[in-house]
Amino acid sequence: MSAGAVSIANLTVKLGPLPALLDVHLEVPPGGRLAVVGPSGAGKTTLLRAIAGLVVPRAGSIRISGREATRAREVLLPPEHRRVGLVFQSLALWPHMTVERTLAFAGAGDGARELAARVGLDKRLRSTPDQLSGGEQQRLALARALAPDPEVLLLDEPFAHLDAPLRAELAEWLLELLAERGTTLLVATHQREVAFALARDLVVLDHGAVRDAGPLDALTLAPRSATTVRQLGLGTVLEGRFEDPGLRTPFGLLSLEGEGKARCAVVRPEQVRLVAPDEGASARVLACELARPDAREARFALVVEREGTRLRALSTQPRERGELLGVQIVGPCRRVSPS
Amino acid sequence: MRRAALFAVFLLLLGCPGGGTSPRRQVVVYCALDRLFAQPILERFARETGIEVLPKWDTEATKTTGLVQALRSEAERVRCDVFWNNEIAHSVALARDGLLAPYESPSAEDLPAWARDPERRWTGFAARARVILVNTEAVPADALPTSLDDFLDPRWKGRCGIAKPLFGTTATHVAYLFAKNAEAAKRWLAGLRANEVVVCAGNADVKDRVASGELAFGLTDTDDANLALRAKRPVRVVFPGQGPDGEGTLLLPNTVAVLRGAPHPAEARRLVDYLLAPEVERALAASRSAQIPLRPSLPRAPWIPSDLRAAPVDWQAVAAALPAARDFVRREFLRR
Amino acid sequence: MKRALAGAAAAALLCAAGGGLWALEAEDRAAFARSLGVGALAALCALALGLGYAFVVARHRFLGRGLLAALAVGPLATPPYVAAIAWVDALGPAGWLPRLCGLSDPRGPSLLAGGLVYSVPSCGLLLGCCLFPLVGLAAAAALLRVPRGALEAARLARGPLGEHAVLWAAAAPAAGAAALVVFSLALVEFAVPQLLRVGVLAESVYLALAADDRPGLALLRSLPLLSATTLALGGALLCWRRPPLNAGEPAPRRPLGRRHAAAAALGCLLALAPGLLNPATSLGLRLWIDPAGGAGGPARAAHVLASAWEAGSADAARSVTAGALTASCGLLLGVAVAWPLRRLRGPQRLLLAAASLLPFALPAPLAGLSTLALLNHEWTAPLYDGLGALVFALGLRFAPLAVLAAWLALHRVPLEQEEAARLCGRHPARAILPQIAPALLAAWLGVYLLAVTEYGASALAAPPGQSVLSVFLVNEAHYGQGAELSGLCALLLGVVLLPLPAVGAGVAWLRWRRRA
Repeated sequence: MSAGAVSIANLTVKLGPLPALLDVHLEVPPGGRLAVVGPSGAGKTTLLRAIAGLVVPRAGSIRISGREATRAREVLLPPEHRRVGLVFQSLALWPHMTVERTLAFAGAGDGARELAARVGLDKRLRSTPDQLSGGEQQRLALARALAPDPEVLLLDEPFAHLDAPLRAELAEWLLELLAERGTTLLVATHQREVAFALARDLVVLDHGAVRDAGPLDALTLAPRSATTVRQLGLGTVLEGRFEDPGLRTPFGLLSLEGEGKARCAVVRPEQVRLVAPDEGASARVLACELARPDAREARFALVVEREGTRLRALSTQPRERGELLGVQIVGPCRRVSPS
Repeated sequence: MRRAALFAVFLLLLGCPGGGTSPRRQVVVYCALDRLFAQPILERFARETGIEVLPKWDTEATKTTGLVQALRSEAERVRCDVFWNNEIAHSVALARDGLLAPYESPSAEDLPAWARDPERRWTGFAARARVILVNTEAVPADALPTSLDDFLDPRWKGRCGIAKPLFGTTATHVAYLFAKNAEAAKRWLAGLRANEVVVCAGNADVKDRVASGELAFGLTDTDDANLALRAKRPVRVVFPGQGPDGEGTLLLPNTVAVLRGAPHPAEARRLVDYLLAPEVERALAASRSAQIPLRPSLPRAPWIPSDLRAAPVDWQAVAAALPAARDFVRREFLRR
Repeated sequence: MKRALAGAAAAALLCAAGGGLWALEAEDRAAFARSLGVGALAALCALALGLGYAFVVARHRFLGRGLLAALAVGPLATPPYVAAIAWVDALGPAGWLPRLCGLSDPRGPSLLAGGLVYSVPSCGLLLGCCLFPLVGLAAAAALLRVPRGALEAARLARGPLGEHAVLWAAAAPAAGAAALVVFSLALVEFAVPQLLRVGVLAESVYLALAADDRPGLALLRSLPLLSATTLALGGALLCWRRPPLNAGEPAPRRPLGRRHAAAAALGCLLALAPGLLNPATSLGLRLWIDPAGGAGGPARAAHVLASAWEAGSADAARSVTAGALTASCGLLLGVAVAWPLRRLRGPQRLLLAAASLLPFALPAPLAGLSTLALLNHEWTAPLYDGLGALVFALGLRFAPLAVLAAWLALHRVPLEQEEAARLCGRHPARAILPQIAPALLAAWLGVYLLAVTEYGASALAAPPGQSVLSVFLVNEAHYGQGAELSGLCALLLGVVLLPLPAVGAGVAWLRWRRRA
């Protein structure tokens, strides 16, 4: 039973002079939950649109639920037959339809009221999108995508308009629903909280190419690309010159995990020890904020700078902007590819 | 099924009711005379004969040209049976181009020879005369213009007018002058220009300007003059060329013709016979357009002299002179 | 690329206009100058009246505002030549206004008649007054879409002046575009200039056919008009900027004090007067009062209207049928053409827009003659001998309007809404067309209005025995002012306004259904 499986091979999409996606490979098992992260313009939306059959690729193929849906320059399975739901970043709600009519039109039929109730819109059945709040609009878009009972749900920046509590509430509800229906989920986001909340697996895109892929927990512990580190906020990527056996950076010689040469390494905030200026590489405080109000120690997140290179660190106490500190980096750092 | 039915209704609406191909007794007439006057006559014909009349009308703005263009474009697949023209120049041109069929109507026997095509492709009846409309408050009774030469009198410099002589009856009038004596016509037009004669948009415009006193007098048609008289404006009508030495006033008759290849030839001839009968001339004379019957015995509007002398005209020569006259008017008369 | 193409197209059009003008005679060049004068004055007049009108009805709240807004339809629904007939009736040599004011001198031309009525400014002013609601409605629509946030931000940054700057910036492109449309319409209009004795190039095109029987010359004379119209309409398209849907909550209207409200209402009524009240009062007087001194009053008015109904009801019915068919066919065609082209961007979009605008500059007789030439065949005989020829000719002239309207409306709907419908297994049209229904309805009404008042092509294309009211009316206008003419004008106004109650009832029914 492969219902909901998504398999992408060698996918290349060109929307302008530059490729929006370049030789992308991807596998999502039935019921899988994959987050696609990357900076703006990385190709996340294009990837979801290609899966939905809304974009014709230059090369490669897409299989959905075991059926070949798209191949080079050809959409074999039209979007309406793919059993795919898509929540657009702009929501794309139909302005002339009420909530009830939208869900009925989208395929919920008699179940429109029930679906509306599930997303908390049962009291807004007669409202049109312009009468709904941002969160309600988001929920309506989600319910519309779920109305035809899709095997694959695609979410493009799904919680962009929501505050944190609502985001958490909705994510919880969504996961419950997906588990109940066995729906596969692909979510494109640049918010790591969303990726952590919804996904089990992760794909990192940058300039249309896959930079990293794998289970979310594994990638968090062992990122392979600088983009992954930046997108998931895992630490600071320091560039430098390889001096066997370490990496020479403005903050000193970093020791590296494993064997081999490297140009970049990731320094996690926990690895940065703040000392007196003369006890480590001296650096100036650029910013200090209360990042972890609930933590007993290391509650403040700092950004320090030395010779034009910035580093993120944690501090137990607030620091003044411009204050001079000493920085020591302890433990081996993980080498990563520059992009 | 419902869509197919709707589509069928739509097609029916577009095509209905068909005109020319029906087996019913009918006659298609393209009529350049104003509908106001022609429609009652055609309705009476339909009532009396049982023949359905399908008229196609023109507007003043298109100056008969619309119908003539339509007749020309339909030469390959004729739809019209009878062309009722309110003037004569285009009928002569259509006859010359072979679009009209000869028909000698018994009703036309008592019509004057000058108003009939020698080959009987068209026949003239009920005419308009080219007249000088004078504002009686602007022109003293002893200084009334009597001929076209009065338009050259410096006393009336800038105070008399004619319609633009490129179209309508004024164009035909100028062509008539050219056919008579081209050099004299050119001199007259040059004189008009030198005397700063006002060139108006049309004969109705001439009438309006004279009636309002903006112009002292102007050259126009009897139907327009009649409107000014009926509106009790301070105007008087002068028929040029009626003096002892005059050669008569130019009369421009309505013309009627049967089209070559007409789909309903019998009905067409019947309508032509009807239109050429004295009753129609009488009706047109009594109408607001005050057409002048070509049969001297018939009554005419009280202000039209009963002994009105018509200028002799060779219409073939007038039609032949028309291009040269237009060319001169455009090049010399209207030159800035 | 887009700018280069637009530049190249503009250069080509200017060359065509220049070439055409060079080949024309001095008289035609002077006629073209008068055409430009009439067009420019009409556009300026429409711009001034329209902007003022839009600011009053779109930005303020006062008693009677809705009625004033609805009255704007009136001048648009009045054929300009009907307004011109009434204009001359009121201000002409025998006009009732000069006589009433004692300005008419029986021995000479009246002051108003000689100085004002028959002139380029008068012609431009009248056309501007008849067409200014186009500018007013476009500017009002733009003003109504200004988001509250944008105004509040401007207020905080620059005070009331900042607010006004934002409003002007929102209204100016729409008003400018509509003024260019007015310019184009005034440029090709010839019935009004003819009635007001202004020799314009559009009339010269007619004369090339009427006097010279030279279609080639007519085409040559059309060139400058064609170029100027296309340039103006192209400019209108370029400056037509519409904010996207859901741009934000629109700013509310401001209440107006009694005095200000009275002044604003008076100003609006004055602006509407020439286009609406003038025909109404002038025709009303004609219907009511017998100039020959006979008994006036309601009995006479009823008699005149009954006579007009008897004479013109069959033609009126055909006008309604032909107008409705033209509008419906035009709209179907518009949607059918615009649907596959809706995603066009860049140069193709500009080219399509320009191509769809060209028929506006096609002189009416040429459209009529083209219809005769195209449809007079054995296999098209049913169309040629029925109303089909008339609908074809009218469609030739006005269907591009529907294409353009449908295309612009479709263009505004975000692509993703359509994709959302497809993903739900529905045809995108089912989600999109209801959204653009108001725009399509407006296009239908616009085409209907133009079709039922058109006569240049109708006179040629109407089959024998099936004349239409506009042709009848213009034919009758030859005989000057009279009760018959006023009756026919009233009948034509009825024909023009006929769909409005139907549309109103339809909208009310839809609202009721939605509530239910």
